Amino acid sequence: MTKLREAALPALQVDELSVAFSRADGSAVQALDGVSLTVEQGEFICVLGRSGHGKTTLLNAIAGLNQPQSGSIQAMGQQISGPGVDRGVIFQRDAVFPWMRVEDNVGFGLRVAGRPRDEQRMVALAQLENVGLSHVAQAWPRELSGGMRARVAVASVFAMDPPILLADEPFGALDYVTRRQLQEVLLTLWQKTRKTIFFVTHDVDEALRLATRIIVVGNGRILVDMPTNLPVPRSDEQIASARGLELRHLLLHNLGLE
Amino acid sequence: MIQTRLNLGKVIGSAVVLCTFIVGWELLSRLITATGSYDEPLVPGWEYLWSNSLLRMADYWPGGLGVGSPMTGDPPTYTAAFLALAKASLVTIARVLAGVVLGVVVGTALGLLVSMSRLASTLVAPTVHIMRMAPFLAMIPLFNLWFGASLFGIILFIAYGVAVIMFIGALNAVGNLPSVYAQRARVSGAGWWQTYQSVILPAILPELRATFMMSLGLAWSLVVAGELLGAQEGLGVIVTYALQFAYTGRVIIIAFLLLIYAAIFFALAEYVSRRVLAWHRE
Repeated sequence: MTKLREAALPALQVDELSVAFSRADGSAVQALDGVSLTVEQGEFICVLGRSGHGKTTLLNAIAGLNQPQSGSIQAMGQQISGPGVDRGVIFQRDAVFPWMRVEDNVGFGLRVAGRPRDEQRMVALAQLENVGLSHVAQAWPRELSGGMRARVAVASVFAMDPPILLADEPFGALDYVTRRQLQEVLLTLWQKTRKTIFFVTHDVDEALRLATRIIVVGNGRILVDMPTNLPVPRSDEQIASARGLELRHLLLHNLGLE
Repeated sequence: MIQTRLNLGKVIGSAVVLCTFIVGWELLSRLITATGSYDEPLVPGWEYLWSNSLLRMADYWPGGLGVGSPMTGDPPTYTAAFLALAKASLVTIARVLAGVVLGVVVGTALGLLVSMSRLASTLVAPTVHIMRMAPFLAMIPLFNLWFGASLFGIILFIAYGVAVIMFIGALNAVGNLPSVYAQRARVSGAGWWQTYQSVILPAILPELRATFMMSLGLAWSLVVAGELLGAQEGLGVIVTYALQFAYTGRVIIIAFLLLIYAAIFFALAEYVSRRVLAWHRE
């Protein structure tokens, strides 16, 4: 019974969420203005929007890293009041700890949770295997390329096995080829685990490649919220299909480009 | 290969500089033959330094261990001289070590503690910055009055100087940290203690290392200053006595010793911190 109810619960329920910041000169910025949103379990949502229009603010609010002015957020049916291990985060900036070996970085969440050392190691190695980094488990992060560190970040979040994964332009700083590889890694992991993924990006192609549903945020509000209705995984041809082009046109239009 | 050549070059370079210094000093001593008030040459040559200044360090050996002291009428011996230097060195080094350890622990801990609260940082930081600007040496009389020029008093004085610098260093280092590290700790479920212990503290170590090296240099200055003013034992005390009779040579020997000790401390700190900070890119 509980299981059934849990299964029916939305992963995320955002109600009338408003977040404001004050600038250095004292004036207020309304970063989010009454945003409501329901995310079902297992969805891969991509959030698009221009810089400074509220994408990251929305993600941080769901992560519990900023204080909403009003409104509420529920994760797996629970009202959130701050960060929690039910919502893993991959940050925009490189958050791999340079003072921990790769393996310890991936096992960090389990260490914090007080799990035994053996388990930390085992899970970390399994996750590193998933992202193709088993061979550098004992390396220092400074010895890795940017793409490899992004893989470590992905492995670290999956090691904690949260039902919800929040990613804030995690591959934005990577070159095209590396980004495509990382997208592949993430998609494979998502298909395997069916976690709910809330993925912020500024890249329309990335959203078209990954998402089951795309949201466009502008001026602190949701402008577009629609399913992609494209198969997963999808080929370049499928992205270039009539449906794909129609989506791209709509997204670009809402980003103020067409 | 290149590494070996570089090291060899370094060694040869250092040797050349050292030889130039030794020869230059000797030439200078023959050029400047003026003497001070007690017929002591102002620039004593190596021979004088060895056979007079070093030997007369025996004057500061109080006797014991079967080695006679000039204080009780025995002739000065090199054994007594080296024992006097060793005893004074031990006292001074112990003071530096204890003062540095105490200062680093207290200063860093307070810095981390204050860094936890923005309000505390705003309130406390300006005061400590003023303490930093105030000359440390001006505080010696106060420490003298409060704690005496004892072993303990001078240790506290060194600890005070080191702690002030480490406090500011720790506070700045935490302030300079990318906020994403603490955020990652929080979303991974870490409480404040875990965050400080496994994220903030290791993350600030590279910056703290630079601050520590600076405070180590300061500690050597502070110990000598503290000992010059009224201590009973230590290298600074020998300098005080030597100054009373304008014994330039003896002052120079103590200065050399201090230089060597400070260099050894630096090398050790450098070695240890390099190992601890293996993860950090230089």
